[in-house]
Amino acid sequence: MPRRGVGWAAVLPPAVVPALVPALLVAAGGVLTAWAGGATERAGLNAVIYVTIVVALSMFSGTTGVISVAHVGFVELGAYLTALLTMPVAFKRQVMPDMPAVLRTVALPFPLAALVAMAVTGVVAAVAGAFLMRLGGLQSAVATFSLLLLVDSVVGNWHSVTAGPSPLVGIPIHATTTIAVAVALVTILAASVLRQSPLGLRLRAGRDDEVAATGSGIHVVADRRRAFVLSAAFAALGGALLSSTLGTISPDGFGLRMTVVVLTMLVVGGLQSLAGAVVGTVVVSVLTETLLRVENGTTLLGAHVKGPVGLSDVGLGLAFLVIVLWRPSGLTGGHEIALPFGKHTQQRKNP
Amino acid sequence: MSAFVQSLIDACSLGALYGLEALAVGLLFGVVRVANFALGTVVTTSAYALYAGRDAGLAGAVGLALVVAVVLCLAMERLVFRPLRTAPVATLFIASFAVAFTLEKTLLLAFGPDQRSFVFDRMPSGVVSVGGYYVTRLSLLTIVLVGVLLAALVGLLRGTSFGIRMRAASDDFAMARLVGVRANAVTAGAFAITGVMSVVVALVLSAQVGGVTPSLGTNVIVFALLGAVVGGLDRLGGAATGGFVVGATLSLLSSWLPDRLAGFDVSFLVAVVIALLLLRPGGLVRAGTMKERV
Repeated sequence: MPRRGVGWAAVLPPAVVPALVPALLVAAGGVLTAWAGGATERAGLNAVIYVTIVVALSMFSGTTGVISVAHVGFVELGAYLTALLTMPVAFKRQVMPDMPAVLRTVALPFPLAALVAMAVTGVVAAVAGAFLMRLGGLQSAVATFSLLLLVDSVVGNWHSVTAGPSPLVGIPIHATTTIAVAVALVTILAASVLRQSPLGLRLRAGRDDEVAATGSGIHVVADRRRAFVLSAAFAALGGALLSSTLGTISPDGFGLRMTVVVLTMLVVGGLQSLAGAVVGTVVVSVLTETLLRVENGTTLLGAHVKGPVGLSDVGLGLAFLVIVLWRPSGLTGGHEIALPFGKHTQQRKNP
Repeated sequence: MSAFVQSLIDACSLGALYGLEALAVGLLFGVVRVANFALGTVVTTSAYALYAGRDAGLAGAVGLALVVAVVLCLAMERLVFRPLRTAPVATLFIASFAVAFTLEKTLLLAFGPDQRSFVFDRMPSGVVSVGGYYVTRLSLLTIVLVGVLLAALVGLLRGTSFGIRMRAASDDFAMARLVGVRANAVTAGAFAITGVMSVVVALVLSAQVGGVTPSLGTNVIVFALLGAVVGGLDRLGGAATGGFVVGATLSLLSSWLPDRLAGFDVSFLVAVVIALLLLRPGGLVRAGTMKERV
């Protein structure tokens, strides 16, 4: 009879096991960069927020295999909603007098504002998802891309509410590195539980063979819509963190550029696994931050180097292409990473 | 009334330009199943080549741009899209996204964000009056160029051996290979043709703007792509029509939206695009080929 693993991982519910290594990675990264302080801490904070966003995207794209180009739109919605909801009433009355009364007369504490932003974005995704999930292949990619353009153009032009294309300033800063790490950990845990849940199993069945899954009685479209809503809500949470740590947001920061960043992170790590989302985010963040420092001039191995402006963006695009061409399943190969010690609960020893 | 007719004329000229780019998107998708977002950066790169060759006169500059654009398209095919031939359509789309991003940032790195201005004396400028309405000579040229290219492309696809091979590859790639069509040559040919079309778009666009910036082609490719998908990627006519409709609608929206909603032209257009994708996912002009059944 196969013997069950006796490592300490065996005492944990199986649903949280895939979250262990990614969570440790994020926690360690957060602590180390905070300890280094200064620019490194800011870069670390940024990476931790991206972990939330990319893991949120992987809740949908990783489990369904359908690539969504719309998620940065959800991040943008979350960021703007949180910003508008947390700004003090007096400030809004003075700076943006034309804002609708619903937004102008309320100021919520950050956690509540983030929850409202998640809920609203979830509703938007539920409505959009009811239609979008019926499409497949290129139509789906182009339709989600259109949704991103829609959010982007509304935010960029609704002057009385979002300040239009110019930056929205004076957003109260509530989120600290600790809060960002905590949110990232919660998101990783949620993604892990989703994957192991009955819904997650059905989604992955639909990803691996849609026809067979449908034949087994799985309603692929309805399940994908549920995942879409959940993942959009967490993407909005990532946006909430962004606006509440930066204090200033503008439509330029989202849109196509952030979409390329987020998709590169997901693809570099490996689309299909939770570990892939986190590893990809960490690797790409380190790469772009290094190139960004070379761009600005830095001392590397005793020599002063200064690269041309735009180097980090070119590096980002190349990283994507290199991975897609030579290792299409990503650095993790689409697998989860087990702890190096103890025994994995799912591995059984031969008698 | 006259304002309305005038806005229709403007719409036709923008529609023609987007239609041409959508035609390039449709051609490539038909043959290699790549919805190539990077065509926008090919347009931008061609415009920079026109800028670099501006002292050699219009013919010299266009010659240089043709070489640059075709070489760029062939390199893209060989380095990125040929190795990815068996990848899913959505992955190819995202990969073309990354190609576009990398190229655009490389242009930014090389030329900086500021506009490089140039004008060719021999490009038409000014307006002509037709029955009381004003049409810029550039729009007339655009419409003529698009018509000529469309006719040439149809002639190529229907009348030449290369065109027939290309259509065979577009219908059933594996089967075409089995009956001796040299798939790589056909694919490379399709990419090269889109390079040539991009030069035409670059010529018109840079004349409109009076120069070139690293993001010159981005708007065009976004709307041409939406148009091509809405119109139907399986037929060249569908893609071109879709591109025309999207470009013309955008132009009409920006002239006719009330002041309160000015700036939301893109929002309305995209909402219409999403609605059309849902109502007719196969495109406005549907191909006769049968969908694979399982």
